[in-house]
Amino acid sequence: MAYAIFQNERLYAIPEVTQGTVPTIAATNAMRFTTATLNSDAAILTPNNKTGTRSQSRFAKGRRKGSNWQVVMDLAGSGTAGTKPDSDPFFQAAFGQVGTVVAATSVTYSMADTLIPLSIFAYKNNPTTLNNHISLGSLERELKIGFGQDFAVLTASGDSMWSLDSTSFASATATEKGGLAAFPAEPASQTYNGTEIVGFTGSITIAGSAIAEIREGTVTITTGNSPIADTFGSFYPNGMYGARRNVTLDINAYDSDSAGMNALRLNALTQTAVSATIVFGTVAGNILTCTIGRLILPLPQQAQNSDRFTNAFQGCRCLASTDTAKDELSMAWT
Amino acid sequence: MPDSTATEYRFVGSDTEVTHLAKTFTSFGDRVTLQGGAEEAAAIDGPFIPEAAFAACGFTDDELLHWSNAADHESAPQEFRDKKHKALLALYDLQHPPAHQQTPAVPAPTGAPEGVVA
Repeated sequence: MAYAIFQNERLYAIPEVTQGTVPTIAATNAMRFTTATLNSDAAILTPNNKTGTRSQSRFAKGRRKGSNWQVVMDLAGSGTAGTKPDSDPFFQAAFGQVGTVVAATSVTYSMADTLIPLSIFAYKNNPTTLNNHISLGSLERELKIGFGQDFAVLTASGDSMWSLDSTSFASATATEKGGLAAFPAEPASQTYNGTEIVGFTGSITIAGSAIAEIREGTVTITTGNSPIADTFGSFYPNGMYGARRNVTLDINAYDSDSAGMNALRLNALTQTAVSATIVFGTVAGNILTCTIGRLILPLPQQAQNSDRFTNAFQGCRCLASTDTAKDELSMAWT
Repeated sequence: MPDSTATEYRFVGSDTEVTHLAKTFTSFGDRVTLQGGAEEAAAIDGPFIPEAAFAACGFTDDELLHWSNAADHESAPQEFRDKKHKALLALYDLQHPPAHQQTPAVPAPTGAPEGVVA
């Protein structure tokens, strides 16, 4: 028996052409990551009928809820301007389309209403007989980028059709196998690109003013994407649904009397839409610029963190510029 | 068009690990020999361009010594940044060959086609 060792795991992710059909894995789909949780949910259904005692003896198999997943990684670009980052599938799935590449310059992700499912592979490699997982038909419910700590952190999470595991592959149903004839072997080599972004490097400009007082924050895309898991005749999710997306920014700043902070508080009070640009990182090829066209600030929560006064603007809303635009947020790697 | 028989390549990224070479590249301009040539380079799919394409960018030895760390490139002189731009264009051409020249060494499993503005 071998215990699974935490560090001996590798992650791959690939957009699916057809939800629930696992694409061919390649070495170039690998990425550095911190944790990957690919859960399956085989609920046990309890019949309602009385049996004459208070004990439970009856059950039915239930798998309608599918499964859920979460991937956490230190944020990094490709290291090469104009080349998509290793984490590209998670950006594609959050934004609903591939990034636009400008050769040798940038990769920019903009919002679209398309849903892009992913296959996410996690291989434990020491030894290779350990249980490996593929989360298939995975839709991204949320993409979060946290900043202000030692490293900027990307957290992607969502729901999937199923989380297939290698040790029970032979017993899996056709849906659970995702079109695979065998559990795919891990690629023999991997290519990892990019430099992790130091989480407190970059700049934040709101309403035209550079705000130096911000300590930490989070950009969150709540996509509204979810598998359709309640149709009659299926144990598994068998479709994709996209509800209204919601993009927010949380920031925590020192209280000060600077022009920028005064403007933030005034814009919050008058609920005036302002523009915002957040730049993460300073290393070429690993710089992520978030552009928010219309930011609506909530009134700040005044707080004392230990011996410091802070203003927390929680849940700043990022809005599109018109009813037809989808420009509430774009992210560009340069 | 890149020479498909070339085996000498140069690194033009910031930090790339290629596990089958058991090597992490962190110095801009690092040399690497890929015995498999273009096919191996395509399989690696990393920021490597053939020596000839790199030489055509005109980097001097002093520049490569002084600006080996990509973390410093934002403050590099425009002349160096222009040369780096040429190198990245060469990489782009390598990674996005015209359709009739595409001979992927590895399966191309990604979903929708990439949106490209050259």
